[in-house]
Amino acid sequence: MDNFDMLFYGLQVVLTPQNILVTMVGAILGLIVGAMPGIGSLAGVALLLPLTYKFNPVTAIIMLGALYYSNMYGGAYSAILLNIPGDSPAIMTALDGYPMATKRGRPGQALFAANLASFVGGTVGIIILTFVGPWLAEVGLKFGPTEMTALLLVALTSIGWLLGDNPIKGIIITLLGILLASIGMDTLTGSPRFEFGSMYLMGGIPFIPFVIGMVGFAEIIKLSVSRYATVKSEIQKMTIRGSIPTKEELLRILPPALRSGFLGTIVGVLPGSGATMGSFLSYAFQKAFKSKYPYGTGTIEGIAASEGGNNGAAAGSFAPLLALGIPGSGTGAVLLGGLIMWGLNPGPLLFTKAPEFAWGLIASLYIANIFTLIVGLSVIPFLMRILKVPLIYMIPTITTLCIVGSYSSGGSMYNVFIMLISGVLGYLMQKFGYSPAPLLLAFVLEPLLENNLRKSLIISNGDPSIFFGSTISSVLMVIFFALLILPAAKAWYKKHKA
Amino acid sequence: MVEEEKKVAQAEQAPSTFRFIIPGLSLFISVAFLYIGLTKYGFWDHTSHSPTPGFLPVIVSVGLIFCCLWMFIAEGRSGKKDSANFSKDELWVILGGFGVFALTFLIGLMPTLLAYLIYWLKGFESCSWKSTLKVSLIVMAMVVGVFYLWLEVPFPEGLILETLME
Repeated sequence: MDNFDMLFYGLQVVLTPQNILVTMVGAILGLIVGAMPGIGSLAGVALLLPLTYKFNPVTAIIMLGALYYSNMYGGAYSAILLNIPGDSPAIMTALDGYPMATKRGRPGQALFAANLASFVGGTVGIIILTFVGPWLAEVGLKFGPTEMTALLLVALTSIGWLLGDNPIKGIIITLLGILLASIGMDTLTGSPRFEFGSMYLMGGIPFIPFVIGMVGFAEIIKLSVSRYATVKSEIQKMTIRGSIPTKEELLRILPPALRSGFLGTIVGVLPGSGATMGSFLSYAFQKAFKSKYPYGTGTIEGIAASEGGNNGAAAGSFAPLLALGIPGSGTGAVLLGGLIMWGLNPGPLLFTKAPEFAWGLIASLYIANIFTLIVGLSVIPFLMRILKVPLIYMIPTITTLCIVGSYSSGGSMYNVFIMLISGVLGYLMQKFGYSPAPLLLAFVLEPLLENNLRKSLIISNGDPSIFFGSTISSVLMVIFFALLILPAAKAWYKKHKA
Repeated sequence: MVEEEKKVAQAEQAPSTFRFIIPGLSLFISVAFLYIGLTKYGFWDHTSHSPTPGFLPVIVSVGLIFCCLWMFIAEGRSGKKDSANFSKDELWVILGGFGVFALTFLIGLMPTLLAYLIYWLKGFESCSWKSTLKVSLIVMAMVVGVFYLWLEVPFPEGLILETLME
């Protein structure tokens, strides 16, 4: 009940005209920035940080929190309508969102589902944060290199659910993703690796342009063949009412959104994970459940899982940030910088020494969540008009956005080059039946996996039994081996039974 | 419908060997990573009993080589002759993107994008001037308004403008 009382106290702090206004402004700006391809939450929060200088610390951090949170909503728009994820957590949303909008002709329902799932997942995350946030942060601290390695190995096996009909193709693409991710600086030794003498490759392959190309530009290349096709006129009425999913669809959205919100929150608490991993793992986990249509073809459960997961992770990442002063992601680091700038020290004492700040921020997340949902739903009719635009206009438009978004993510034409090359690679992959999802997931997970794996082996002097040294890592390793062996065992059993 | 059929009909089926592009490229990359990983970065440091920077890439490269070879054998044994269809229009989209990339170094990104939009819509798609200018101006307004003015992204100015400004 203590936390409940403190939450009410926080709401009193937030519910002043100025703080409500900045929450609304932060939510709208975050939504717009999140929808822009190439401007992820890290860049978005960093770019908008100066807007908060004129405010007092409580108001400023409330605005930043709203910006970060609504960023998660915004990424889904361009993912669903253009197949260009606004940021990396929206990659999995594009997998089902774009086909649902285009091939199934239900863009309004896809956008509505994304907003609703974001709201549900985010609410689950914020409630967990409210009542067990500090405790969760302590649990997160128990995840050292060994536990993280084991968890990431489990996550990698979840790629198996994304492999599709030809597992060998999926494995090839996954392993290729791991190799491509190893290009650049080796973070443990600080020396360049596999840069092939290029100063550009010393920084590695930048992720955002890579994704924009592999998913967005590749799609545009493919669409050029059918660009004279008549735009579907069955796109339903462009009103909010016309976008509301059916009762059956709403019942299909809620379970994955709730599950993913919970899973995403737990993932968000873990060091170095973030909303991207929350979204990926939630989508992969969702594939274990039935859906009306196959995943990847426009099923609403896929959208709900991805969006619920990324908003849950966004909420979860506040737990280690506020309770321990440990940012869970790059964006968390920017928020931490903001806190320190205003003379506040995140950590266990924050909740006792500056409760109006800590609980004000948590309360503002509730308000930002509600307000972003309202704004997000109200712009759906306008956004749907994008799909009515003939493809002959969309092709150069989206190419322009891909180029500008890629450039903006790093301020270099090298990023544009990476986007173009990955676009061609993604296009060839699609042509020959290779899904980009496993490659992108492996690309995201590799740095974390390798760092934690090597740290674990350094700590143990090369003894692999360290992975069975703690309860958490032992359990996770058992799960990992079970997931590895289970498919083969099932196949062997079926063959012998027959 | 007739136009679409024409577009589909113009797509040509690639030779059946094209389906080995991805495993072939992956095999090449994995062999390169394996070689460089073992020779330049090493696999294991016996002094400190710890993995070196080549540890995971070498393991993954070996796995990838096996999978690619398996793919070659499996595909070869299947006797499949079919392959994907490719169209010249797809190539034009790719060339358009690379053209923008190249021209940016000369005249800057904003002028290049405007030129690309106008050329693509008027020259390639044969749209009317009205549609061409309308779409081009809307897109450029969005790019300039959001990225350049609001987010203050410093776009490259190109060799010619930089020389003039000097």
